[in-house]
Amino acid sequence: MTENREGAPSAAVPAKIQSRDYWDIVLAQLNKRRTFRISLVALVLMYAAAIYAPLIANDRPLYLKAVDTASYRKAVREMRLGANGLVERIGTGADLNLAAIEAERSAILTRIDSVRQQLHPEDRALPDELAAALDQTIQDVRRGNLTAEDAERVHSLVERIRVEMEPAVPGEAAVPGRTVTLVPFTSWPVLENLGRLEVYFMALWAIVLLWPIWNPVVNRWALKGDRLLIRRARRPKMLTLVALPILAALVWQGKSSDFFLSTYKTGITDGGILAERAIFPWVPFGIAESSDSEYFRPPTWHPESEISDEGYYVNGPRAGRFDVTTRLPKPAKPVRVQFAEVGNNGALRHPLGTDSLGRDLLARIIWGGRVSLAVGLVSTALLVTIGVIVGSLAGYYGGWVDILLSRLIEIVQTFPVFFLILILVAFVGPSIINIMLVIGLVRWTGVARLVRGEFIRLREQDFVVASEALGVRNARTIFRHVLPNAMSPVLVAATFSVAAGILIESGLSFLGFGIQLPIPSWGSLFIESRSSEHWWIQIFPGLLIFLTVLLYNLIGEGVRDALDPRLKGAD
Amino acid sequence: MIPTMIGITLLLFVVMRLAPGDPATLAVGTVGMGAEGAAMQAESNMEDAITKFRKKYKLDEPLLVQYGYWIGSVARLDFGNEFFRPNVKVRDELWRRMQVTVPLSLVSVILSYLIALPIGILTAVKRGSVADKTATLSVFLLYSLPNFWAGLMLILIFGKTGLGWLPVLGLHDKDAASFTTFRYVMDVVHHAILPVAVLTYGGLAYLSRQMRGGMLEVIRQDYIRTARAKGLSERVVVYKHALRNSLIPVVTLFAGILPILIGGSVIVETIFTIPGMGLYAFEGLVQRDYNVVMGTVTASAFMTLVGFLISDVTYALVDPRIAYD
Repeated sequence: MTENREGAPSAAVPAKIQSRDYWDIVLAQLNKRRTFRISLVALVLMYAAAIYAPLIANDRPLYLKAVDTASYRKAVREMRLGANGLVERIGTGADLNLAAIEAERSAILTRIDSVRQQLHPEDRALPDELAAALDQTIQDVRRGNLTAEDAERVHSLVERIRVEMEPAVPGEAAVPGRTVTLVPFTSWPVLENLGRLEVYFMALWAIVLLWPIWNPVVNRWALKGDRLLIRRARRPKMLTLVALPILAALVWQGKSSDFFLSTYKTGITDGGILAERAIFPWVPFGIAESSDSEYFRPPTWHPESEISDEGYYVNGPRAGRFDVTTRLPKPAKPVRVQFAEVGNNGALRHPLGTDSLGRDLLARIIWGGRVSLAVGLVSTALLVTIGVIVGSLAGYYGGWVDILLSRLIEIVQTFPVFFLILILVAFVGPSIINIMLVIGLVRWTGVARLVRGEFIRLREQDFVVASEALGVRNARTIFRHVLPNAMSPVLVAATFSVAAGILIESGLSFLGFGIQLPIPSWGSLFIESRSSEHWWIQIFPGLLIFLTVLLYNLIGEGVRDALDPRLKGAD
Repeated sequence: MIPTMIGITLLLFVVMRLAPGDPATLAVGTVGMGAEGAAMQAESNMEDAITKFRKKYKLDEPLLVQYGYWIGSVARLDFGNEFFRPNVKVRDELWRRMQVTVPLSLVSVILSYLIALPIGILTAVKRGSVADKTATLSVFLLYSLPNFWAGLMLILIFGKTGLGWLPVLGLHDKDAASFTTFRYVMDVVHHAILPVAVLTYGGLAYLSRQMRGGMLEVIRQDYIRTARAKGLSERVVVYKHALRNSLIPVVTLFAGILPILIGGSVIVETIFTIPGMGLYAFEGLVQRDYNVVMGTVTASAFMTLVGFLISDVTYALVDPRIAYD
């Protein structure tokens, strides 16, 4: 327990002697446990699913090469209206606010760009001319010699675009001077919508997932298998792990947007978008994509889920063309199968069923992991920070500080935890941040008591006395010398409290005081229905909560056995 | 204990009063919610009504003064009336509700001890056997099971849509008043099986893990080796020497289970619609009824404190080495 962490004394020892420091021992111990390894891998994969949710479950295509007639028409119309409007307003002289004019021009330029995107280079003359004409006009405004000619030029270009640049009927040749052939453009709709934070976590997790590949390579080739070097490289490796994703996020140029709804699928299905090639994610449903004819549809592999072509259930309590309670005929509502989706009665269409709005439960569960898993981690980070600070102050200084803080711990501890959290969340309002904060602010007492105990145990030991005798500042003694030796039980408690945090969040959401829609958490998926008829809504999210908590508890066990040999076997 | 109680109530009071959502505006703005609300509605001037309401419930005084008033009445066991049913005293309602929750909690505490101790002891004694492995694994699974999900799954399995064996709503049938005493008791037991199961399994898993751990710790001690060396039978060694000492920490866990149970009762009572304290607190929260929330929380904190006290006393009882001045 009291070994030095970063092998300072062994630096003088010749590297050939393969000494083992604290972390060597811990890692070796952890490595020996099969359940620990399996749980860790499973958990890493669960986090991967949550982090890469936009790439796994989405109603946007990952890759699209298509002719989008509808959006071409829209862009042309907006470009024309924008250009005419701008010129007219300048012409009346009513509004010569340069900043406003610039803003309007850049809006028109984006439209021009998206029009050009779908044109063959030879057909781009008119839009290019329009852009130049607008430039000219604005320069004239700046110089104060705006002429009627400027407006005339823009107007005539707009008119020519209207007449000459209709999109040709797909498959037919363009009529020169009337229509133009649209060229397929490529885009990456999912990637383009990733925000920096998402890119950060995706890059981080890519490095983590590839760890079994790069780590042995680095150790063997760059560090030549030298234990001492490997040990010294631990901190730089960790820093790289954090720094590389930050770099990736800073370089990233995409625009952050919500992934709630897109029109790609409908466009392709209706023919508005002529897709030459479209790759959709594995689960081609968005988290907010609803379907009127499929509300509360059981998992599609279940016999009761079969729906006829007219949109009536074939088996089970909802079968028949008449409503059971009102005895009125039910209107026919055929299931609309869109592009990239599995056919109506395919077993994998909605493998976990749908909710009250016909949203795919699998997609919502994959996205829901983001909230649930994050709440556990962040609240734990917070409670460990508070607990460590309070505990080390109380344990190190003792005296009245200890009495005061211990009383505080006692007070907070006497509340039934879940109850207190429930009240606080109900009153501060449910949001992801609030829930993390509240869980952290209420549950720090356990860690504080552990740290306090360790500090009291360590305070009188020689190395602390020596550090004090050398005149080292209190803060340095606490954080540099005592705390590292007191961290083992904290690490164990932290692992368990991630599990507890996930449980608490899901309990809150279950009662309706948790995360509000539209981004679901696993707990809030239950709110959709508590009726036993909709068993799939109750089984699947709960199963995932259970699994996650179980994995964290298994990992906690492993860490405890490895870090705290005193408690070995005592489970 | 009393300073702790004051600290708790003060903390709660401040949190509640600083929270957004003003009871005065809420009560005035609610149409048809009791005589007081209606009377205030009748006054054409809302502002006026709110000021009067504030004055009546002393909401216009400084926080500390409000707390003084409040703690004074709490000391007389008076939590005020419900905001939306002004003729119902929170104390009376709370008392009615506790008569539901406390027996349920006690039953589940007793049950979890009754089941957990043998499991813990046996798995520790037969360490490494198949029985130990299965029991430890199932306890571990139970330990990770979210209680609301367990409740829902039990309803799915045993309720109407599943096997249809057990009722899932409330604590007795609609026409329970006409039952004979025996049938009434049977009915309540029938209704209580699922809620008690959900309340129990968490504490059970926790206790049996602690029991096993404690037993293993004790079995390693020197005096057990001595006992074996003396030639005592394994029975005597385990049940007389080891058990007694490993029981000490487990008995005191009673206090730790109580807050878990009270927190859990919110969820369990909501799932099974049992009119107990947990459901009362939940309803109070939904309606932002300060008196109800304060009443239930104070009561549950008080119960927890009593639990701590009991466990301290039992600690001294079971372990003669510990004495309190």
